[in-house]
Amino acid sequence: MTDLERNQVERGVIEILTEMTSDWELGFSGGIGPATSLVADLSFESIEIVQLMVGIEQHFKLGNLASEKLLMKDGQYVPDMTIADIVDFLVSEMELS
Amino acid sequence: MTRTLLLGLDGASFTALDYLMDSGAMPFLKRFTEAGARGELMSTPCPVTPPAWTTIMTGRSPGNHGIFDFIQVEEDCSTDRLAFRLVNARDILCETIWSVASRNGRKVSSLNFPVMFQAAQFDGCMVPGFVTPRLLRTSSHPKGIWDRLKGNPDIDLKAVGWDLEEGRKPLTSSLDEEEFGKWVGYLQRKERGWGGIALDSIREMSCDLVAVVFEGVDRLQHQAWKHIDPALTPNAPTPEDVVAQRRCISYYGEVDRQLEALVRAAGEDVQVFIVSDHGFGSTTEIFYLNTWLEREGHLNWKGGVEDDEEGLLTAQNMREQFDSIDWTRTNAYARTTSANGVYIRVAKEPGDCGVRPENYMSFRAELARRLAAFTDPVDGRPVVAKIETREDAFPGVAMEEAPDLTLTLRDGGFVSILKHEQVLRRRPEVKGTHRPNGVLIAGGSGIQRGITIPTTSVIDVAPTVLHSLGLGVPEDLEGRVVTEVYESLTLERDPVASAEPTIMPKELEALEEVDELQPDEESMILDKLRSLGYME
Repeated sequence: MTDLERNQVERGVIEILTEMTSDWELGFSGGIGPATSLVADLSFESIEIVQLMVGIEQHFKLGNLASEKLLMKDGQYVPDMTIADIVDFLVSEMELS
Repeated sequence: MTRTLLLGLDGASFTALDYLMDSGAMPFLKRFTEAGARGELMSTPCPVTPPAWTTIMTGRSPGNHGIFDFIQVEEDCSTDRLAFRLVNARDILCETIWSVASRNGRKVSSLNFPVMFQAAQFDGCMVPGFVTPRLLRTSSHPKGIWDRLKGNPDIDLKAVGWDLEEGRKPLTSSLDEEEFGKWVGYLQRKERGWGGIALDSIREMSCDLVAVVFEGVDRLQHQAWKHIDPALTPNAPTPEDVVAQRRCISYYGEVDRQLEALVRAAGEDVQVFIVSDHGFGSTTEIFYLNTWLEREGHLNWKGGVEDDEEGLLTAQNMREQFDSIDWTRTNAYARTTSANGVYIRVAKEPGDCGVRPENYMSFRAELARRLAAFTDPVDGRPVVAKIETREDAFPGVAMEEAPDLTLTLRDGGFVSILKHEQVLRRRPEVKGTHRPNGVLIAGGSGIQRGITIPTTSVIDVAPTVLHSLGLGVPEDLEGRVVTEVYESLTLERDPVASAEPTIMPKELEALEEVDELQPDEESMILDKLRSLGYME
């Protein structure tokens, strides 16, 4: 995948999150970018991460349950993730498909 | 103008409704039922929310629509974990009646139906159920509907979302008097919220079909069935019992007011179908199915897993639940309480955990035989009243996702998936749980008055709703129009018609993609023509 395509994926994820959180009452004041964390910065609950992933799977036309790979690392569920983590995962999934 | 109302009361049964109507708690529903047609509505083989409402929405059985439970799991017998997530609209293999009606020119509003998260857009309004409050805005359509509803001071949108903590309460704990009062107030605000959105669909959006689920009925009954079922009323109720019963009655009164407001707003020409996904009844004991499977040598717990001391059926967190099982040494397990059955793990490769494929049938048959033979050490009677294989309970293209064995327990309850020193124990007090027989109450234009019809099925709701909308019934729906609720003259004027089969969601998605491409293609062609000087 080229840098241009990766940037497009990143832009898509940021657009989804920006739209989703636009009316949330957050202490986070910076714009959403690659280093933004779902839990620490955007105060996502675990169920909201799961529902976000369904939205992302649908947006990028990935298979069901693909995002489970993102939520697990070394057999443990990851407590938080950045936008960059999500983009890395999506890029690898798209390269596989 | 709204011509059909589909009003869902999750978990409603005539056991409770007849008592509530006769005692004056639901005066509108009493008048409406007496002026209409009523009958029991049988649920899906495992009477739980996701498969049953999905059958109502699609007119297809779980073996075909593919929704069996709240979660979907990816079995991989080569690893030591189980990947899972909540089911969503992409998991439904069949077209919904929202889509069928919309394709045929009807404007539809679908509100608070489960498994609708991320549903494809259609003409009308969709606010899915089981979605957290903060995600409802972006998962509802049409775009902008949420912001418009926010401007309506009569609708409390904060109450309608899926509040995990509040939702868990009836299943995982007993509430004290004050907590119970607050919680019933929360349920009432929730129903007012959904009722307000449904009113908006009638008055402001003029939807032909307005369908809404009032989910609190099920939640309240799980927590407080002993205060609702008249057969369980104590001869000498305590002051706490009296307060709790009053609170239950006030909740049903709220539901009654919402039903009345919607039926009145829809006008005289509307046809109304009040349905439940399943009924309700009592459960008096707990059968620890995973503990039984452990004793039989098919399941192993990880070290440090503690016994259930509180009489619960499931862990609060499903990940913790799955992490409590040693998947490298487990051949069969009860996945969730709601699935009420056994999943058998089949090894795909040599070295995988699980039953060898060639041994699957004999393993399953032996498991069923042993379950049927399990008896209560106190009374010596069998505990499992019925055992169905997936071929019997869930035939269809998605059958392999269903439990290998589905159980019906003798007390009508659902299995516990927790660990306990005993396989079976009595509950300290009666709790509410699902039963197969729910309700169908029909009324309005062209509906017979004051009749009781024979039992029908949740699979008949979809064809009946499509017929009510003046549409033919797609050939591949598995149920039928419940013609017995209609006046004969109405049926002569509007006979049941059949229609082309439904379109599978994947085909619909592909068609939408083509539609989406067309403007670009058109634009590209126009640009080309311009560059060649054929157009200004």
